[in-house]
Amino acid sequence: MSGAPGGGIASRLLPRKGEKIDRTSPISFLWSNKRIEAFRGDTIASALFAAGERVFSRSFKYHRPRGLYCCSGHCPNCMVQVGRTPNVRSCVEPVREGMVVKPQNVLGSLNRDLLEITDKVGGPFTPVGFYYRTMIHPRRAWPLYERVLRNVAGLGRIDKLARRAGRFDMEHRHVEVLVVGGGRSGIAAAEDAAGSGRQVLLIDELGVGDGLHIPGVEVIAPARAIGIYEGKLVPVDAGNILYRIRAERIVVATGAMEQPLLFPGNDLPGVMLPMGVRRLINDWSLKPGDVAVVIGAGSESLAVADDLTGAGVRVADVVDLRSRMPKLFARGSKGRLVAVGIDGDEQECDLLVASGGRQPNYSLLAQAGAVIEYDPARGIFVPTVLPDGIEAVGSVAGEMRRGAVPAATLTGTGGADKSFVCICEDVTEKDMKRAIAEGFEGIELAKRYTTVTMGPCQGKFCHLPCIRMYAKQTTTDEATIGTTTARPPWSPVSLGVLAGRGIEPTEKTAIHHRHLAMGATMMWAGSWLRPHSYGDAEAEVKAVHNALGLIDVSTLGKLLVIGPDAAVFLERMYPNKFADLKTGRIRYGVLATDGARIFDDGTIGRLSENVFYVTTTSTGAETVLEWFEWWNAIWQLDIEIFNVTGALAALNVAGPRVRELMPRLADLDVSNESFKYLDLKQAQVAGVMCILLRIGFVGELGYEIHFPSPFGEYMWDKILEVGADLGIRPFGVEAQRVLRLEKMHILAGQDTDSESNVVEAGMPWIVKWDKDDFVGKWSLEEVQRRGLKAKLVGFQMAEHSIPPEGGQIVLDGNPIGRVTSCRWSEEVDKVIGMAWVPTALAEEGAALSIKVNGSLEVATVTLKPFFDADGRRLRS
Amino acid sequence: MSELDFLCPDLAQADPERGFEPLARSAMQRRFSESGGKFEAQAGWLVLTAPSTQRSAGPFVGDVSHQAKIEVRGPAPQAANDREIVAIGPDRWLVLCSGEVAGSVRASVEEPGRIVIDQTAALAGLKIEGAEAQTLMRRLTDLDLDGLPAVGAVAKVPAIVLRDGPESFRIFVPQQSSDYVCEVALDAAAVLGRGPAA
Repeated sequence: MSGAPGGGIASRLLPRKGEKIDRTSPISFLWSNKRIEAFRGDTIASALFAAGERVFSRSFKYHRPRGLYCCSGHCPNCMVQVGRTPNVRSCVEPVREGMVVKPQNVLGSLNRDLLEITDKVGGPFTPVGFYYRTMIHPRRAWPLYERVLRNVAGLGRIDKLARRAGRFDMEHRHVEVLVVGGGRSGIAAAEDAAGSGRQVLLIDELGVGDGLHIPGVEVIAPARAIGIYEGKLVPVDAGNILYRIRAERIVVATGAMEQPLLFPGNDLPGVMLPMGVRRLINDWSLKPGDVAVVIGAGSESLAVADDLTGAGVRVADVVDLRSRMPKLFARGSKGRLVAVGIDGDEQECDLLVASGGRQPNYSLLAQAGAVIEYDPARGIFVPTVLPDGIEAVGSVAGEMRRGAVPAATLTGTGGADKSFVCICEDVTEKDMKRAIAEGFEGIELAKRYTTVTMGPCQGKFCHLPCIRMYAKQTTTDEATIGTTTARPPWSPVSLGVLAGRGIEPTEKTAIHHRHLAMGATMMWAGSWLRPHSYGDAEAEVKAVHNALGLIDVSTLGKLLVIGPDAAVFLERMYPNKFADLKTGRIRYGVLATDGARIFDDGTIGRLSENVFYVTTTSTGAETVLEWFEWWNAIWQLDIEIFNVTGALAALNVAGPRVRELMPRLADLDVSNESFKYLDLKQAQVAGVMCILLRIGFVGELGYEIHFPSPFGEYMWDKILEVGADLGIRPFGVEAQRVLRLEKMHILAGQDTDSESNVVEAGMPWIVKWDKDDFVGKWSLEEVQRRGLKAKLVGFQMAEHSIPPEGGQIVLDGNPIGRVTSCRWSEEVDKVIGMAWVPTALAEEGAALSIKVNGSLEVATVTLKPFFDADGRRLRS
Repeated sequence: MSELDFLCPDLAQADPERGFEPLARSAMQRRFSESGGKFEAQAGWLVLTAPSTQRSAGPFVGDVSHQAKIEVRGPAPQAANDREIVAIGPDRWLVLCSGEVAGSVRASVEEPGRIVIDQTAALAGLKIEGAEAQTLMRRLTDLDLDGLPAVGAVAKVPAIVLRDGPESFRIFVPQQSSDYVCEVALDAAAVLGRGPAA
C-alpha cells in the first residue's frame, strides 16, 4: 500500500480543495523500523493511514486491535510512542522528518499481539475489579501480581532512564476575554468582544490558528484548556508551553462531541465517528474505506455520507436513528471490521460511521461550578446556571437541534462480541451491569470501581453512555443518576508540561564566585550555597587557632528593628533584656515559640536609641521576620522591621593575630579597652562603611565585618591580601562547626529540635524571670514547675570513634538520649560532641554509652566548653 | 554620620595610598562577564556597558544593579526630576535614582515620620527590553504586565517590577537571588533568540 510520497495509492485521494497537506514537501519517518513517506501537514496517523495501516494500537486491558476513531486527539485508539515519549496521540501529532514512531502496549506486533489472549480466553477470569477479589491471597504475592498487571495492562511505558524529553516553558497571560474553542460560536464571540474594544485571546485544540485571523484577537492553536480553576485561571497545554491564563471573562465554546453507539463490536478498527471520517477526507485527502455504512441521529451526522461519496467510498446503507432504532452489531475478522448487522441483516463493509448524536462538552463549565442538568427532551446534559464571568456559547450551551439518542446507545444486540462502554479502559456493558449487581449503584462509585471515565478521553466518549446504562439498569432516569464530578485535566497533559523548566531558587553570597575560584566544595544551607571547606578543613581549624581565619558569613539573617518601641518589642520577643542594652553593645538572644520551643538564635546589637540590628541563623531570616511582624500585628508597637540580609555581606575574621590585621584595614582602635568583647562599631574598613561586631562564635578573638554586599569580593580579596603575611586562610562551614563545638556553642536546629527549650538546652542564664512577660514565658515557667527532663551537654569519647549525629545514647539496653553534634577536634585531641541526656546523667564526668556502628562506646559528660573554657582567649 | 551609613554603597571612599579602591559589583556581573559582557567602572560601580551577544532578534537581558534604591516608609516622598518613586506597599516607597545623587536623594526624603533605608545593595536590577521582552516577562512572572509597577514573584523570587515601555521592563530582586534569576531569564531569552545586554 505504500510507496508514493505521502502514502498508499489506494488511500490518498487526488488533491482536494482545503486539504492541509503540502504535496510539494515530502517528509519521511520510521514506524516500527519501516520508512513511511508523508507530506508536510500530515499527522503521524494520517501518514500511517495513507501507508495502509489500519491497526494503530492495542487496547488497555484486552489488547484488542484499535483503529482510528475520532481523529481529533480525544480517544486512546491512535496512541503511539514517539522517540522516548509514550502516549502520543498520533492523529494530532504532526509528522517531523526522521522521527521514530513505535506502537505501544504490545507483545509482538500490532497485528499479532500475543497478549490478545486476554481477550480470547481471559474474559471470564478478568471481570471488572477482578484484582480486588482474586489477587488478594497470599498477601505477600501482591508485588508480583502488581508487576504482572502493570506489564500486561496499561498504556505506554515510561523510560525510567530518560531525562526531559524536550524543553517545556510556562507563560503567564492576563486577558480581558478568553475564548475557549475556535468553532463558529467561539469565533463569533471573539469577534464580538474584540469589536467592543476588549483584549481577546482565543484558544483552539486543533490547528486552526494557522489560518485563523480575527482582527484584534490573538489566537493560540493548537492548544487545549486543561481546566478552569479558582480566580478564572485557565491552564492551557500548547505542546511545549503551558499557558497560565487569567481572564476577566471566559467564554467557553467547546462545542459538542459526537457520542458512540453501544453495540457488540463497537470498537473494531473500521468503526469511526463522523468527525474522524471528515478529517481523513477533508484535511488529509484520504479515502477512509471502500464500502461504508452510515448510522446517525441527525442531519449533521448523516451528512458524512455525502463526504464519503465524494471521496469515492461506496455507501452501502444509511440508517437514520430518528426514524428507526435497529438492533446493531459489528463483525470483525483478523482484527478488522468486515460486516455490520442491522436488524438481523448483514452488510459487508470495511467502514461503519456511527454516531449517537452530540453531547455538549460542558466539562470545563462544570469544573468552574456551573450547574449541569439533564434535558430529557433532547437526551443530553446541558449547563443551566453559570458562574459569574463565565459564559457558554454555541453547542456547549445546548444550542443545537438534536442531542444524543438515548435509545440508540443502548440497543446493542445480536452479536457475540464485546460491547464497550469505555474504549479507554476496556470497560464493557457487561462490566457495568456487574458493577450494579455488586451494589455500586451510584455513578461516582461505579466510576471508582470500574474506572469508567478515568481513561485518556476523560469521559468524553463514555460518560453519557454509562449514565444511560445506569439509568436503564436501575430503572431510574439520567437526571436521577446525574453526572460524575468534573475535575481537571479535561484532556491528558504530560508531566513535562506541568513541571516546566524545573527551576529552583538558589541564594548565593556576593563572594560565591571567589569561593569557587579557591576550590571550595559548596554545600546547601537552606536555599543558600556555602563553602563546606577549601580542601583541608583540619588545616583551616588550625589556622583559626594559631593565626587567622576568614569565613564568609553573609548568609546570616540580618534585620533592622527601628522605632521608639524597638527596645520594648525586643524585650517581649526574647527571654533576656534589651531595654538596658547600651548603644554600641551586643547581646546573644534565643527566639522561642509561645510553647518556649527554641526556633532560632542570633545577636542583637544596639546601633542607637531606636535602632537595633538583629542577626538570625542562615536559614532563619524569613521565619524570624514573619514571627516579628506577626507579633507586632497584635501588639501594634511603633516600630518598623527591615530585612537587610541581602544588603549586607558579612565576614568573620578570627584568630590570635587579628589585632595585627585590623589596623591595616581600618583606622580603628581595636584594643580590648576600646573595642571590648560584644562591642559593635561603625567604621570604614578598606574604604567601605561597615559595622564591626566583636563576637566569637568560633571561639577565638575575632570580628564580624558587615558591609554592603556589592563590595563582597573586594573586601574578601583585600582582607586575604593584607593578612597574607599573618598566615590568614579562608575556612568553611566544616571548620566552623568544629570550632563552635569546641566552645559548645549551639546550632539552633542542629542541637535543638521542636521540643527544646532554653532551660534544658543549658542556657537558663538567658531567662530574665523578673521581666513582666515575653513570648514563651508561661511555658518556661511550666517547665520549671514540672522539673527538667533532659539536658543538652557536651561529651568526649574515650576512643577515636565518631558517633553519628542522631546516634543513640543507651542505658540498660534502652535509648535514653541522642547525639546532636560530633566531630574530631585536633585542638582537644578528642572526639567531642553534644547530646541530649536525662537530667540525672547531666553531671560533669558522668559516663555515657553511645551506639557507634552497632556497638556501645564509652563517653564522658562535659559541662564546660572543651576549648578556652573560661573565655580568656575570646575576651582578651 | 548616621547609624545606618553602613548600608550605603555610595559612601565608600578610595584611599589609593593604602591600596583601598573599593569598586561595587552586581551579583550578576560574573554571569554577564562570562558570556562576553563588557563592564566599566562608573561612579564606584562596575557597570555593564556592552552586551555579550549581538543576535538580531529577541529580548535583551541587562544589569542595572548600580541604580540606587532607597526605601522609604511613611508619607510619600516628593517627586523630583532626579528620581522615580514606586509604591511598593501601604506607606512604603522605593525611590530610584542614579548612584551619583543617592546621598542627596536620601537626605531630601528624610523627614520626621519617615524611615529611610538605602536598599541599593539589597536589590539587584535586571533590565529586559527589545523584541519579545513582553513574552520573556510572561515566562518569568505571573504579574499583570499592564498593571505595573507591582510587587510579586519573578522566577519564584520576590521582586519589584517596573514597565518602562511596551517592550521594556526592570526587575529588582534580592541580590542573593539575582544570579539565579539572571540564569533563568537568560535561559528563557535564549529560546526567544537573545542573551545578555547592556
